[in-house]
Amino acid sequence: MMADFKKTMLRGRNVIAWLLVIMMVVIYLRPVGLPLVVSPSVRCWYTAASAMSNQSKPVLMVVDYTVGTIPEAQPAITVVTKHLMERGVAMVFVGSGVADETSLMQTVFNSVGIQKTYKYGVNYVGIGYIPGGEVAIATLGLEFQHVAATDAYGNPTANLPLTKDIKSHSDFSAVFDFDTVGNYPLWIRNWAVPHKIPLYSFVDASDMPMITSYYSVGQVQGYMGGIPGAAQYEVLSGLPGDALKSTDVLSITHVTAMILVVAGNILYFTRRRDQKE
Amino acid sequence: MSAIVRQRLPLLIVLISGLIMIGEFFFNVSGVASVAAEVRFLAVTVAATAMIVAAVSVTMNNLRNILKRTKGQWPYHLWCVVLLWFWIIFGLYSGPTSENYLWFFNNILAALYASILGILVFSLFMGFYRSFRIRGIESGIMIASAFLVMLGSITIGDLIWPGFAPLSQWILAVPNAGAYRGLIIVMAIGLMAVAFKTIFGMDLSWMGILRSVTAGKKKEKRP
Repeated sequence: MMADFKKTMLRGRNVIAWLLVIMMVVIYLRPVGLPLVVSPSVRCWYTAASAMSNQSKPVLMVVDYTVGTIPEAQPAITVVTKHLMERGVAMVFVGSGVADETSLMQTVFNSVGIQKTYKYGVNYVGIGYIPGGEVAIATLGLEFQHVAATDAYGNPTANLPLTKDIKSHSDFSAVFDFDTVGNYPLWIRNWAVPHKIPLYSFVDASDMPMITSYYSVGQVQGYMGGIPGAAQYEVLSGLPGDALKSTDVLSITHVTAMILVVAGNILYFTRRRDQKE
Repeated sequence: MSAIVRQRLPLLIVLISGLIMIGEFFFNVSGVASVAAEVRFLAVTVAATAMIVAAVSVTMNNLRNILKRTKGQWPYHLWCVVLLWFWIIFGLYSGPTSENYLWFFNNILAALYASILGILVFSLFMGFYRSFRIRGIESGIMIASAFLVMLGSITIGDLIWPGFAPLSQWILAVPNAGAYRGLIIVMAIGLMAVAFKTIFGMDLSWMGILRSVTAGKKKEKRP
């Protein structure tokens, strides 16, 4: 009986892998179009962004994700950047997690085509990665010109029209953080709580349980969790993108995972019953 | 190097820096703010320089194995050093925002990472299948709450039953947030104790020295 059980499990591994590949490919190519329910946390973010205009103070866009999480984080930053571009909101891009963030920032610029409608230095500025972790984040809010003396292209920020008057955190209307490196508590500690700067954060799906505890007490004003969060923002803003394409795949794979757990348990209990008999 | 330079000087720097930052944050001592700002700028500069130290350290460690011709390993160490310096020189030459650098970045690095994470999905699924067993009440509760949160997070959950999303939100906002906040507070208190011990030289592990203070006797050893 034990040998049979092991055989079933091992055979199941190959079947599951193939089933998963086929399902993901088919559903990605032919999405089912399952309806999305927008969560209050995403709606808060969308409402705040929609209330901004070209008269608002610039938004600090924090590119805090890694190369490995591009598929999850890039749809979110893309849709928010596009939405802010529609509203004419000025943006300053920084990174505080890993050195790759300067290249990731440039990838975002290229993918949203910001150069076509926005003028560099006037409507948007890319500072890029700033080393120093929490100390750098804290100092950026107190002495912006000192920490971000030059942008990612070597231009002095004191000479750029958008950044020349930025002195501290109070010169930003909000912080939009796109984070998969776990840096959002640092922005909460150094910007949102002490200086009352509204913080909206994108986190990967595995960080959702953690950020909920900050959101429920108002330390984070809104958040998006993984691909479903970005897809909800795409629906709200009417700017469909990669996140919406992936939601159906995500739904079906999650359901498959649950079916597998149930199947595994049925096999387990069957084996136990047989052993008792 | 004398003990004063090796031990006392770093301790003094840590003590002074720590007291300045505490003075600025908690007591608003006049004149301390500008000194604290300088300390922060210094920390940012040190962090930037640390990247050079890291590159040199990685090279030295790998070179040791290359020179020793460690069997079956040295070609990998050589490849690591070659790639490390290729990226450094290429990045310095063309800049991390240049078209050529981004081509390499998106077509090699991003593709590799995406592949690795893609393969991980299959391992996760096998993990679900083979190890998520209801062996008792605790594991049963864990699997049930995992199912509820998963169904509340995906689009199909709402089609099955509209109550999944609010239930999932409740699990995240009440039992989960309560436990997590407790954890954060405990961690913060622990960190305060560690910071206090470091600032006042009671813990020297950051200098690579293990020291225990027991019943007035100091025992010191280098690992």
